Amino acid sequence: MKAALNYALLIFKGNKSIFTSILLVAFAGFGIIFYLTNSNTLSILSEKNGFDTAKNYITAVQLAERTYFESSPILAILFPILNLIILQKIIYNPIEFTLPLSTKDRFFGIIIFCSLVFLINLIFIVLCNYIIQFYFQFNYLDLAKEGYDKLGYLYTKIPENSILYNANINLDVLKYSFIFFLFLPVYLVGILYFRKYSRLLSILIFIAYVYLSSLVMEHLWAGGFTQFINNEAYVKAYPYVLGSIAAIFAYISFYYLLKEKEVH
Amino acid sequence: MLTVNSVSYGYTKKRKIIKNISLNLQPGTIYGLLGLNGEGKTTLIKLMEGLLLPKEGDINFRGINSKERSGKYFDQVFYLGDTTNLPYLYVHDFGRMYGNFYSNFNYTEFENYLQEFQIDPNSHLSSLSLGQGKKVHLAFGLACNTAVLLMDEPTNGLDIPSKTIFRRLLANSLTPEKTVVIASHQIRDIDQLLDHLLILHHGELILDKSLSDINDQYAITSEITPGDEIIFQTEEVIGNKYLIVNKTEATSNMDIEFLFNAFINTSKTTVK
Repeated sequence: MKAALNYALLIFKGNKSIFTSILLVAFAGFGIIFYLTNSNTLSILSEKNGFDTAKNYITAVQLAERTYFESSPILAILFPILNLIILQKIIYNPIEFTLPLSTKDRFFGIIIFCSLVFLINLIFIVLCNYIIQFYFQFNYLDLAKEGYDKLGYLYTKIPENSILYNANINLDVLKYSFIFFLFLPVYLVGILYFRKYSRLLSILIFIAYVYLSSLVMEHLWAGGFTQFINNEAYVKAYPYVLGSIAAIFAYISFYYLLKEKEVH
Repeated sequence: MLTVNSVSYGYTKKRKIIKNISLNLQPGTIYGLLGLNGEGKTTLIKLMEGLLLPKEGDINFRGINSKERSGKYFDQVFYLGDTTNLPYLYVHDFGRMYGNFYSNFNYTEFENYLQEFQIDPNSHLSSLSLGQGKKVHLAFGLACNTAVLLMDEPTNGLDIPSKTIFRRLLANSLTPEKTVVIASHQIRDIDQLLDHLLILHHGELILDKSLSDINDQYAITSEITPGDEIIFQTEEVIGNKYLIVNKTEATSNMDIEFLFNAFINTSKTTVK
């Protein structure tokens, strides 16, 4: 396992642009997607007026009703995938490929490296959500609390999923971001098996997988027997159970591809 | 000893690049793997390293099959490709970090080789030219002290003084336990180093002989006498040059380029 860890660090240190790339993709991606999905929130901000307190109360209360950055969990999954395309170059580089490592160590080294990329991105997304919360709370939280009172919204609380409590989405980020590890092996198999159009083909494989899963869900898992099943947990578990099974197969495929794929 | 047993390989099912090749690479020997462009030199080297996997036959080093791609195999069989794609590191970091994986890597030797090639260990790999990158990789390959060193066109990109240094370092690094295979079409760069010739032609190994055996069996001469068995002849500026069957005890100075031309232009049965 020490060799796998050393290999992961070697990939990380040998590709210094990866750290910059993770931060850049996360920063730019977070900013762009926040802007695109929160245009209403941002338009409310532009209405704040330093002198007109009544209008500011309205602005703050409107803002408190806006939901937090719900796309965050997707960013925690998507951005590492974008950064990991460099693995295609690394895996096929003879200097790396002929390092004295067993396939097992190589496999775990790559997974550890992917986990590192995932974690750095995750931390950054979580931090960004805190920064947004800090900004909104610093500027609007007190105003919103006063606004509820002054505007007659008695006994009304700021919702837990308000943009003013944007960091609350981090719970979902932490909860759902680990789906990344279900996608990861499919992606790794994609970039290792297909040298051309690997990203596109990986996406197609994933879409086919989702489609097949929905067929299984409909005809086998629950849909076909709904009249007999009243266990909600059983019905809800399907994406995770099927996803995990598919991921395990994909991890095994990735291992054997590492072992048997030729390096031209 | 690295053994290649009846290995065949093709990138497509229809066309075989390597056809039923068998070899026993002995320690303490520098092999020259020669062939025209596209004749399968790189393919054979990559097969020996385990980057490619034989379609038929197998390749073993001390009982380990190349197909296993095990750490132990890579620890003893080093591949130096014709192109060098080095990581984004300082030269000394590259040596330390990558050398850490090889059981016989010697960092002091690595630094000495770099010094010979006039490469500053504190320079960054991204700032080096193609030839300098090649020198770092050569220095690293030599310092790994693997039992088998497979080199594909090692002198490509090297300037003339560096080619001389390369020859000297390689000759000095050779131990009785070490096997070196150099694939090249630039014969003049390596001919002084070679102990043994392997010539690939149309995917087949048409020659697998030590230079001393070749010397015993053949002679190169510019003058022939009645009774000489001529195998190959060329017309050169200074006159004709002949490869003849050596019927005497005397040995001639072997011109490997001429030998190569002779063997690839002569039928296999005549040569063997």
